[in-house]
Amino acid sequence: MFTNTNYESKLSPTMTENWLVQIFKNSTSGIQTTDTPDLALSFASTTFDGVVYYPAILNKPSISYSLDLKNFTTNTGSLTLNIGNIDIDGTTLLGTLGKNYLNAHVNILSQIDNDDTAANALQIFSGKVSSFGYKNNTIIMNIISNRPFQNVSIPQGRTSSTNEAHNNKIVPLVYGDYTASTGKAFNAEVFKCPFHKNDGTDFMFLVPEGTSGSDDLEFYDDSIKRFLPLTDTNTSIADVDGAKVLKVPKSMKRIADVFPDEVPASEVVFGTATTKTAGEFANIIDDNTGTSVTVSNSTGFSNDIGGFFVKLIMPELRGKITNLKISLEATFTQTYSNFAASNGLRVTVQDTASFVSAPNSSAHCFGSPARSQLESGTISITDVDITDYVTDHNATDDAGYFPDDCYLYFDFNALGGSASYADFSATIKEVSFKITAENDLDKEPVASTSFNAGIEEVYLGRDILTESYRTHSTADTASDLNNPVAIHRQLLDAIIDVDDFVDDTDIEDSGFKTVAELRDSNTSSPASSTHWKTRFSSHNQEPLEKVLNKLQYEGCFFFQFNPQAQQTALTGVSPLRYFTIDNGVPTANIALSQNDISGYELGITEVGDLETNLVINYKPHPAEDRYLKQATYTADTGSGQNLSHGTIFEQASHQKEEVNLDYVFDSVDDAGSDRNDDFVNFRSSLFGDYKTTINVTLVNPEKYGMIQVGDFIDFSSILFQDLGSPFDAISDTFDSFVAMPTNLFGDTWSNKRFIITNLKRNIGSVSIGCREV
Amino acid sequence: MSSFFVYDSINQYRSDNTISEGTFGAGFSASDSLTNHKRVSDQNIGTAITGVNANDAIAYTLGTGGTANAIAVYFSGSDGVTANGDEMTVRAGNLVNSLTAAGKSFASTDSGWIVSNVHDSANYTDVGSYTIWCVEFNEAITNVAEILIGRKLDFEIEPDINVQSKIEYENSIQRSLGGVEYALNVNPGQEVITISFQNISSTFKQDLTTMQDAIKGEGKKFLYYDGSSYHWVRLNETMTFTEVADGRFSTQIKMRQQIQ
Repeated sequence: MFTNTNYESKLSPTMTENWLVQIFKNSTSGIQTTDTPDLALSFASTTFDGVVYYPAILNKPSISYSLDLKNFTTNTGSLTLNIGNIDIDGTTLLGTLGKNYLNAHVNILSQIDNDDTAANALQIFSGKVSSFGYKNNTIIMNIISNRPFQNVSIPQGRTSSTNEAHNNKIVPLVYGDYTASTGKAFNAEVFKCPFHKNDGTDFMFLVPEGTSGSDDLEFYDDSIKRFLPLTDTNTSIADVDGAKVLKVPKSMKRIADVFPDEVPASEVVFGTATTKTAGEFANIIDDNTGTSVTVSNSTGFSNDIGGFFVKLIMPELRGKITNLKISLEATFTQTYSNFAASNGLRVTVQDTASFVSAPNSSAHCFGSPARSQLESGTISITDVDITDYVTDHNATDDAGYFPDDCYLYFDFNALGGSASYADFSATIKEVSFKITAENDLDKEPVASTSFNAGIEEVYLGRDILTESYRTHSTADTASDLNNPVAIHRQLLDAIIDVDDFVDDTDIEDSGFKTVAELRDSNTSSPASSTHWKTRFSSHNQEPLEKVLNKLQYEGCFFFQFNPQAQQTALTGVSPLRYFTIDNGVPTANIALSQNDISGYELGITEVGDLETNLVINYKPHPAEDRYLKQATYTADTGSGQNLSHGTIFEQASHQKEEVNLDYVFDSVDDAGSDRNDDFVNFRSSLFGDYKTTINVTLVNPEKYGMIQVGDFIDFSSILFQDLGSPFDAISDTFDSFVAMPTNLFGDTWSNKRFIITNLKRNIGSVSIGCREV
Repeated sequence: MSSFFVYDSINQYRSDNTISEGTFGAGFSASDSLTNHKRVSDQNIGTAITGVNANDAIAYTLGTGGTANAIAVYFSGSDGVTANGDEMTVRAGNLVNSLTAAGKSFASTDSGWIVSNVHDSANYTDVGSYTIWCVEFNEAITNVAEILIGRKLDFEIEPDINVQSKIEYENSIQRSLGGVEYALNVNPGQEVITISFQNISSTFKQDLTTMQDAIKGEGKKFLYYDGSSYHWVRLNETMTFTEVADGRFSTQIKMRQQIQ
């Protein structure tokens, strides 16, 4: 609703309305409705705030506002004014207009009963002069709505260098909370940092403004599909060529904390009378020490080497391996006799599965140098250095790279004399490796350079959460740049310098607080809201308007530059307008009966509008052209109009719609049951079923005077007899004062809310298009 | 008093004329003496000049000399004068230092129109032809919104008694489905006055035609006095003369009130 209680109180069934057009030259700084305009025009002669308005407007323009529910965008249409070529203090309007009126600011106000008081008129439009012309002694002036983001692109940060090779590179624009990669778990909570240049010893990568934290850069090893910390990163952000950079030595040392890719059970090599007795070999790389595999020998052997080789398919990292560490969780038992010092259990990593006492290469991780002769024990080793395995293995494989085969060798040795085993058993719970790799600058300098040039970017898991606009004193977390609304507001502030909030009241008046809190669970009000976690990153030039619209789409909220933006002196008015659709049945802004309207049309949403089978791809991979997650929605089979997708579209494979979310990555599905709990709930509540539509022409000023797109309407169908005593005694003749003339197809109007999606305001009437929500 | 028109006979509303502000002493001397001085010559009675003090003056310099016998001044509010006397003086000439013609001083009025002759020795005697017409304010005065220098055309006879008058409000009446009506008014209403002459002389016909030429038909606004009230009007349509007898004509004049 527009906000102006003074104006609202003047609305009456019989009134004089005048539209006042204030035009401020593009060089004029004060453009509030209380400032004196450079041109003051109106339909009828009047004064407003002590300024005389020329009754020079010849046509009856209309102002159109619209709201696209599908895409969550708003639009205010342009309008054309035909203005008499009046004489203004000795100069005709034609002679007055010049280039200083191009893009001049325009306010349009509705004035009731020639009320001169500034606070008593309502601003109904805020825009700019797009063009003007002259025809038949009439000035034709085209006015468009305020669209400061038009033609603006992001990112706007660029490097600045006298060396053109390093000049004008795009500095990425990134917001959100990110997490650095640690441990063995797959992590893709990082953003991209493009390569800038090298300084002889270090590579430099561009990082976004506002980057906080001290985490390392990360390298994406596309052969193992993992982001790996570049452990020698200089974690202090430096200023180079007018941009922020992080440096990392050219060797780009990175550490992968990984499990083997696979443990093929069919390639396990068992010694004499040895077999798997429990579990599965895959259990040893499932990141769960609660599962295991047991290999046993119960018959024993003497003067021989027993045990088993577990084949490990090792991840093939890019670059040269410079360090290798193993971690192993296992238990064992062994029953033996006549052991010498050289007998007992030893665990090594081998490149061949050969039961010999001294393999060509070995990497001892347990039982070295002295073999274990405990009758039972636990093997719990962490990060034992077995670099020898990749630097000192057989001559057929390159040092610094894994051999073709890799085995975890449990070697139960009873070789020599009368040494013998009666039995043994080994239970392996988990085995993993820490692999350090570097660019191979010595052996493959060209390949290494190409390798670096080829990747073009590394990654970073630091937060960029701090907003530049004013935050609410008690709801500041909702302003952190990790929900779609806060990021939207940040872009308006940082890119096009939209007026900042003035104070808490302004933030509340704009609707920002309410909508941002609905999309951010880190709030106390509303307590039940879910966090629509959002990350934003932009690396290539793209239109700001497109980005803002997509944030609105993914965040399911609307934004509008308030048509009342220059009337902020009034209590409750903000230049910005954020709004969405509340849970359940939204509160109606106005209730209409047949006495308020001169005509109406009913309809239903067309089949093409239905979204009954959605596949939602979300959380884009930072390095690959794919999404990490997917959610699906299929309309339930229900009663009445609530039909399943297959019924409506004949079969499930028809009209199946795929949606990609690039920013919102949480609360996409299954976060709750309310409309605002997640993306799927919101869209399915609007488009998962048929909805009714209604076009109405309102003629009662008391009802149409203050409405805007996005407001909710209740069409009354209550009859006096429904109200009970004493109202049921009132004659049916008076039912028309509270009811619509017809039902809504097969339903009544009761308990339905309609959102205004189109609104056309003329002097004397307002036409609206509404849709059931 | 009988009815009359006052219309622009000197072509003062031509855009290539020069209207200057200044002071009057030995002659007219241009200076920045008034605020928005052109508002008195813009055919708009809604805006007034301000900052008028004694001896401030406005001069109209015409491209071609013009002849006038009357001056009409509109006050959009109180003139700020406690006792009306000779608050303004109109002069004419061809040189700013030699504006010796006319020389008529006349009184202002407290809101509304005041009409005076410009010749200082006789009523509504033509003065002209001169290229410079100057109006001096003899004391501080307020709310001067329009100064029309032209010719007063007295009616040869009063119009027929079937004078028609109506007011058009351009109201919009919207009726709801429930039968409730909502009225929207967008302007205060324009009076449309129609006067008829059944039998006028060819001389008066010629005078009317001269006036119609001077005001370019519906082009310029003029002043109509109906015997009791002034009306700032524009022709709603041009006049049609019908010869009803040899040298006698009938016509109808339809005028629309101008709000500004």
